[in-house]
Amino acid sequence: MLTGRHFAILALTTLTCHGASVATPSVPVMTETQRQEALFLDALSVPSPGEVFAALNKACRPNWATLVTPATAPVTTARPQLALAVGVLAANGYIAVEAQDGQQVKNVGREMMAEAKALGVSQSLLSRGHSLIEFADSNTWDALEDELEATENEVKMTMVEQKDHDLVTLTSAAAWIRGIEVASGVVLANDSLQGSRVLRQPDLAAQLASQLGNLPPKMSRDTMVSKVKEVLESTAVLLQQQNLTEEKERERMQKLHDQSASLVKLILTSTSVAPPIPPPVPAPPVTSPSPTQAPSAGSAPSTPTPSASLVSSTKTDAPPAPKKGGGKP
Amino acid sequence: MKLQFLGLLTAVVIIGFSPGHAAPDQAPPVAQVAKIAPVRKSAQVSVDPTPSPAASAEKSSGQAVNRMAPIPTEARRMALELAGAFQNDGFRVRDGEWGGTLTKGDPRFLRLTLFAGESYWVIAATPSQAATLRVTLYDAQGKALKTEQWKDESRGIGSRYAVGVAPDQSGKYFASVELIETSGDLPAEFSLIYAYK
Repeated sequence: MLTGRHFAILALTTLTCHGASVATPSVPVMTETQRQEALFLDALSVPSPGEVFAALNKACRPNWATLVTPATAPVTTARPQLALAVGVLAANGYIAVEAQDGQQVKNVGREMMAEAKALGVSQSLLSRGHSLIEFADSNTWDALEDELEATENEVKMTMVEQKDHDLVTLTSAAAWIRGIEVASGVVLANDSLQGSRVLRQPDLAAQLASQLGNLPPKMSRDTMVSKVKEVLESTAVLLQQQNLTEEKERERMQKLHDQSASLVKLILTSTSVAPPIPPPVPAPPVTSPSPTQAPSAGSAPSTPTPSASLVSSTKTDAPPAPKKGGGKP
Repeated sequence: MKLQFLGLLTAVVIIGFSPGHAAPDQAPPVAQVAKIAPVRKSAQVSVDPTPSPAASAEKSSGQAVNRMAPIPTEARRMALELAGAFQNDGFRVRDGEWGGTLTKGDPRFLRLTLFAGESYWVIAATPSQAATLRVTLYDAQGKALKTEQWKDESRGIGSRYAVGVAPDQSGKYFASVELIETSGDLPAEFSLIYAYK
């Protein structure tokens, strides 16, 4: 039989449990204005590639060693493209860290420094470069990840100091797009599309696209910037879709992967004008290749046409990335 | 001739060491210090004590950018100190910081992007004496989330507050930081960081 004392104990227990589960009972709901006016800080509101990959690691265990790509950086003088390349390289650095490929981290670090130098923001980065090498040599992976984020932030900070605020958004957007490319590729490799929920960040894509839309006209007219904005907008739309069938989900992932992969490729494609190539010495008719034959490796290139003077290749890092564990001599 | 030279030398020495010709980088005379002192005193009680570099950048540019000072602010140092405890538990601390000044009754909001399956600690700290902070996490619709809470109860210099969450869904979230107690309604400098695992 329940007495008054029992009711009192029951009420007290209920109240105590309620207080413990609802952490902030006196906090009101955010207003629409507060939500719209909430600060969007590049350093905290945009997840670092390391954060994306950590989430991916939990959802499905990717084979990071297969995702490592050679450290390539474009040869260009276009500042937007250089800023984008820094973002892609930073993401590549995180992939190399996940794969525990020290040599690749060093290669990526070197390319990042080169891009930062081209942007004129490398003055304070020398010590970062040395730290990256030290940590890579000692296989200190956690410290390497921290150092990569710090390096990326230092590049961004120097951009801000040099009144290049707009480049910061480009770097963050590129790092995130590279993250999308990798993550969607990993998800697609799974039969059950594990890890797709990690990617559901339509608001972030929309926010980054809107920030690119607010860039000064001179920069927003840049072909590369327009392309990045276009991909971000399309990504936002794709990620907005909910309750898809498995087939549709796979289609969506494929689209995400394709568009981000082609954008990353474009970012890493050199666009600077190459020095004029001297015309090849005419070879004897017997050994000369047919005009339609593609030049093989080591063969002399054909006379460049005006349009062909735009180099459309990527500059590959000098030493090839050795296999895991082969970083040190 | 010798007397003339000695006189000239004496004149040079006297003029050279007179206060009126003191080098500009030397300490100002007492009268000047007295003039400066009231200004400095009033700056200490001004509405906006020295904001963190992040806050300055945010104000000057009007754009959301992270600025990290070479020497961290006291608020950041305190926040990082607490984050160190979470690092021991396997959390990674983001390199960025949100810093600025809070006034009582005026919460400030930051947008965050969190991932399903990850665990987070959002940490805020203030070095202001007798100031108490509160951090709240909200979902995309603005509803407060159920969070684990940690607060500095030592009542020493400043205060620290951390909330932990493991979201079910990836997406947009908000963190608010609020000054709920302060002595004499003074504003307080703060720093907010987060760690993930």
